Amino acid sequence: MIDYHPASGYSHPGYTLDSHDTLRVSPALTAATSSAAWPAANLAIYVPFVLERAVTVTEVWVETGSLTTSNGIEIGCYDTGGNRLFTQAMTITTASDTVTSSGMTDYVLPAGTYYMAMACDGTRNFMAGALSLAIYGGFGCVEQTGLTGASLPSTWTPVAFTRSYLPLFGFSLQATAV
Amino acid sequence: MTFVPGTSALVDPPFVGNFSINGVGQKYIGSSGTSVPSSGSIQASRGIYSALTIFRPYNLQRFFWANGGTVGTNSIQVALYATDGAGAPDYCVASTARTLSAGTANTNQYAGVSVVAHGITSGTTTTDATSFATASVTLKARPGVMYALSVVNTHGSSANTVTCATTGGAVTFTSRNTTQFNGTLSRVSLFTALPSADVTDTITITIGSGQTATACLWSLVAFTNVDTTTNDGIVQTATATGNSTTPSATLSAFASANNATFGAHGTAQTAATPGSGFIEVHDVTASTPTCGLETEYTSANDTSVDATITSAQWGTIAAEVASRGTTATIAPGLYALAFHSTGTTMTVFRVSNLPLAAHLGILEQASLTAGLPLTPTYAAASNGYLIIMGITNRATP
Repeated sequence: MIDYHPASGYSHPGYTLDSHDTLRVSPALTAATSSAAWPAANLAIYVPFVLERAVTVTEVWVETGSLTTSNGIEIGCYDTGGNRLFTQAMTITTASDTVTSSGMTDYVLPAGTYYMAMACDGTRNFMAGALSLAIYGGFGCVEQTGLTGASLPSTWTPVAFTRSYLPLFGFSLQATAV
Repeated sequence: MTFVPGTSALVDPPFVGNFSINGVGQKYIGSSGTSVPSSGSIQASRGIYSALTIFRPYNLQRFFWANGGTVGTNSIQVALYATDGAGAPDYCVASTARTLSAGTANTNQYAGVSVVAHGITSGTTTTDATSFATASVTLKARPGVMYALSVVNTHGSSANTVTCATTGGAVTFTSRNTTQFNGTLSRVSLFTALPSADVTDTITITIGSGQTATACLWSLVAFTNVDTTTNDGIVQTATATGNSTTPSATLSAFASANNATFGAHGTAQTAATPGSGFIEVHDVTASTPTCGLETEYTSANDTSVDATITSAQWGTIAAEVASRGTTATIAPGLYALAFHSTGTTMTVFRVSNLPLAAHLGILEQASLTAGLPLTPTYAAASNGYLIIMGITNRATP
């Protein structure tokens, strides 16, 4: 006789996790993106997400906009206490394409709640949503200004979100056995 | 073979609301395409209810809602309701105070959990009698829920002999204060009760001492988020009497900034207006003899508990109600999020899709001038509003 013990409500995050993810953030953020300037130099945007199972982050990526302006960016991840878990720096010169980091050391994120972070040292274009900041704030997005370039801080100091702008960026995943 | 359901593997996000994985917003997007919430108004004095699932114990730090382009004009209340397990409404687990829509337009506004009053029943009888019965009510035994019964009777004894209990005797109300006014002609009294189990019954108000009252007026109010540890949550009371346009009693300094204020004004007049900053729960009146009972509250501290009437004799009881605090731990389960606005000038971010309201489970309740009720009475939605609002486990920002 075998008892059956399902884990209810289980979902697989797929092979990428992005800032507009329809399962871990909200469908209300799925409005079409378009090429738009990063709101301010040395700004970080933090987007919350949850994981129901562990995943391995293998690389990070961003959808670039229609300009070839060269800017430095960082994409990383924070826990709910605002501690940086990992970050990857990249220099973006490409227009209208996906730019993926190279050589990132795999990072295992256990199930839980996290913040995906992106910072840029200029105002070049990225693909971004342009809904009201009230909507983005209503899903827990926060921001931080005054960074040193695009360097994501080791510990964040978030403030209320003030941007009608949500860039399309995220993590490349490799599913990890539970 | 035995089926044993496992613990949910889903994780509640930092902002739980209609459009997170906990709410019905996922169904909305799936059903209606790509439209996203936009700034717009909501009907006034109406409870808008939408289903919400909490997967794990949730540390509620604040409620939030997304203000639209117009703020500062009306007040908003957001609350969370428990269901009975089958999806039927049970009671208000946590609620914000009635909060003025404020801040920068198109940003989120936050409010903690407050002590909130919910009108249960009120009534009057002018047939001479020694005892009076309210309508049948259901008194619920729930954490943080306290019942306050205010009574005005005429021609009562000079001694305090008014007593109240459910007619079957399951619940007895405890007197918190009382005072005669209008000479010896009238009395106003305040009672509280904490049921130990749910009971549905009428409440009998007995005048006592063989006295016959020519009128009796009552107001039964349920308070939520009350620290009922001591005196059912009544921290202090004060009484006063007079003959003027402003019934008023003065409380001492409050024990906590989170505590609420309640007032019961007995008057020899037939209408009253709540004091500034107070929300009227009941305005009960009788014409023969002429008398009134005004009950009001505010979730905030207010040592001056007043109202306005056409000049007449009055007697007032003021009370401080203890708060359980501004946060709450929410158990996993099925809940309903509720929204209420005092007017239609303010705007919030919402979608409106009446054809989808039924399958999304959006329901409403009209004519809630005193705010959201203890237990909703659901009706079909008339607009199908789904509002960006919810709860967050993040204290700041």
